[in-house]
Amino acid sequence: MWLPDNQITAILTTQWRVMMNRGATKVWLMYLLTGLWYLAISAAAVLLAAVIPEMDTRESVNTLITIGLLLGFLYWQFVPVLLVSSGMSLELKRLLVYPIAPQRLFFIEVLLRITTGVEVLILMTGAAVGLWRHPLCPWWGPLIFPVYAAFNMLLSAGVRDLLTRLLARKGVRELVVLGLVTLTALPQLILVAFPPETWKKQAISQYLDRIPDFPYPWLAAAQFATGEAALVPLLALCGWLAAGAWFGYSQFQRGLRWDGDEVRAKQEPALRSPRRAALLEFFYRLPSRLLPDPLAVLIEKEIRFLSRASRFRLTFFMGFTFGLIIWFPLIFGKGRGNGALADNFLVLVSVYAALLMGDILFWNNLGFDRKAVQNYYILPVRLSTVLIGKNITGLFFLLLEVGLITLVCSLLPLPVRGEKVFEAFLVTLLLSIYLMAAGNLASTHQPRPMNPSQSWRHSGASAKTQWMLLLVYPAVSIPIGLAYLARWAFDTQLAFLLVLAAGFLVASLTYFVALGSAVEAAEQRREQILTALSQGEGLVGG
Amino acid sequence: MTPELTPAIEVEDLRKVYGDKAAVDGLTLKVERGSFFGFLGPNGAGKTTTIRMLMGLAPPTSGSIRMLGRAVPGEALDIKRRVGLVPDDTLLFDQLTGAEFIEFVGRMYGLPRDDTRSRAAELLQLFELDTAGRKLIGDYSKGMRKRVAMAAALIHRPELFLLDEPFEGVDAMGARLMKDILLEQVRRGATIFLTSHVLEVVERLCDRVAIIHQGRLVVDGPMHELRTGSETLEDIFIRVVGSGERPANALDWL
Repeated sequence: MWLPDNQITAILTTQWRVMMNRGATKVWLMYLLTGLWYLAISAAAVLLAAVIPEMDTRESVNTLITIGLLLGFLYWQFVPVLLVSSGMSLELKRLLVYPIAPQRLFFIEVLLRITTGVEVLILMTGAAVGLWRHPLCPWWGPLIFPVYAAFNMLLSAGVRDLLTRLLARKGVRELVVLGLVTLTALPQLILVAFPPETWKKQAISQYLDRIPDFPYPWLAAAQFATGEAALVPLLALCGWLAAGAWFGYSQFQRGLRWDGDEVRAKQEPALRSPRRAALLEFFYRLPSRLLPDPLAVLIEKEIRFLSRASRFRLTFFMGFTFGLIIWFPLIFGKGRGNGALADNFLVLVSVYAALLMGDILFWNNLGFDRKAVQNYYILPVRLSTVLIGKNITGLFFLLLEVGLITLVCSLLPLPVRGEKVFEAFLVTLLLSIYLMAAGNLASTHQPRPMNPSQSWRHSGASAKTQWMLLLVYPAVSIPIGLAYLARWAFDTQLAFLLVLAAGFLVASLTYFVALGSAVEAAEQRREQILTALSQGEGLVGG
Repeated sequence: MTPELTPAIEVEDLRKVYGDKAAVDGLTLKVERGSFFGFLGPNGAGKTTTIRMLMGLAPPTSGSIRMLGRAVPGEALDIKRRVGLVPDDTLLFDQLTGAEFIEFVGRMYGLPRDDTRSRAAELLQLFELDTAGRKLIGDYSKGMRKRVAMAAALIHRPELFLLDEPFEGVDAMGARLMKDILLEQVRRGATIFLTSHVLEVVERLCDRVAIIHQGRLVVDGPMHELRTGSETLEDIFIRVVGSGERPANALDWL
């Protein structure tokens, strides 16, 4: 059962290889970045060991340790989820085909959780040294840290399994990923709600005091570690440990018995309600009512494909949720709300949504549905029609997104005036034409294979592409910037509209010239495009 | 009956239900030791579900499974030690190289590290995967993926092979190599349970065949008994799972 065991070491080595192979073409870079990361964490641990003994009171040490342990808890539960969704984590269920007992698999799963929380262990070691050196803290205090670490590992094993099963359900997976992405906006929201100038030394402990009195694991561990109390926190933490072990083991066992095929079978389109299916079909067939074939059927296919691709659905939802969340506090935070940014909130969020969806809809419009590209070369259809079809679909989804942003803003309620709605549509439309022009060129010159079913993975954009985007975005925004400048300079809406009209004229010309070049490139680079798109989706693909 | 005399696989009234659909519906099957058993069926008939249940990846809704004289799941560990597997695509680790994967599988079967390394190197060479170098399985072609899975299945010299579409996407040279190796394994006494859509291959290799249709067993018998007169396996297959003839007026425009 213990470590020099062939199976256990094989699994741990494989997990390490899977993580390192993620950057197999640049192994040295992976090692360098990993080394630097752990160096920084070790430096933070040394800092903790040095700072804690200098703290005046046991109460301040307690506050620091409580917050640290809480952050450690969140990190330990969050990182495994991140690894699962990025394809870097071994799925132990796959090992069921090999002669290995399920109990041993659980033991390995818990061991693997050490690898996802090494940073926390290093920081805890630093804190333990600091506590040992503090004259007011007892020597036995830090002995609670291994118990706290064990609780985290056991709980994390259960959380990971629970989330793996939840993430197998399409809608839930997108909601969870959206929630995780939205969490990244949390620091910004906190900073706006509580600006740094309002921070006081006692403020944090005041907030902590407001939390109901309950022996949370981090609170109990901190109390024991600093010697504030011993028996009650120890009993509480033992209780948490037992609960964590029960939760972790039961969830892991359920995960082993769980049959993903059954879940997928229940989500099959045939099992959807006929009314919903009919509504969807009406939506998909809209282009065929308005346009001739082959353009209509191309757009219809694009709409069907995009609305069924998890990755696009997530990006689309992010446009009118995450986009609003991250811009709202910046514009309407304390002391703001009346400036130019607040006045043009709708336009800003719409443009941000265009940037979010840009990679799928414009910059890599061949690579997102890469399997279809061969057909475009085989079927008797002009490549210009294919690109125009993709562009019209992109435009359709983008304008739909602006409509949804407007709807959400008016429901919240945020100030939404008719003229601003019109302006948001106009500006997004102009920006889209430039994005389509540049995107068609990028898609035919730098096609990248993407996995449409993976909700949260790197786009695979090369450094060259990212630099190009960094330059192109400001460039395509110039006409819009000029229109706003004209309105400010002449103080009239007419100037704004005239400059926008000129922008549309230039954009249309640019689009048709770029389309011709893109089609030419698509013809000439046929083999390179097909070869590039036939590669796996980078190294974490699958 | 001593374990050596029991059938390699014994399945009794096996059922697997997904939602309100039975993927496998009352399957009863016996595969004798040392036989080359072909398990056939049209798409969605329940072949892969059956293999997944045999491998312990999908728990049956009801019914019993015995393999190599031992009960599943009660004695699953002992069974797994003696079974080699070419699974469907999903059980490979895309982020490992071929060599890393075969080595991993060898160590999971408890082989000493040195043996694992030397056997992995030999298998890679035999299946012409040694040239793939640092290439990850995720970047392999379908044929290469099947070859690496077959190489991994052989590493611990199993008594029973469960092979799910092992020839899918494999080129003629690779398929010939795999067939020769499998026949060699049967000659040394191993049992092979094979699913395949390539009926000519099954006809040439297998000594016994079962056909499953809509989750139910519709044919089970020795190959020489099933093929009467000039009837080929394809004729039998089409006769039992559907006519394969289109309605009189269909595709008139073609």
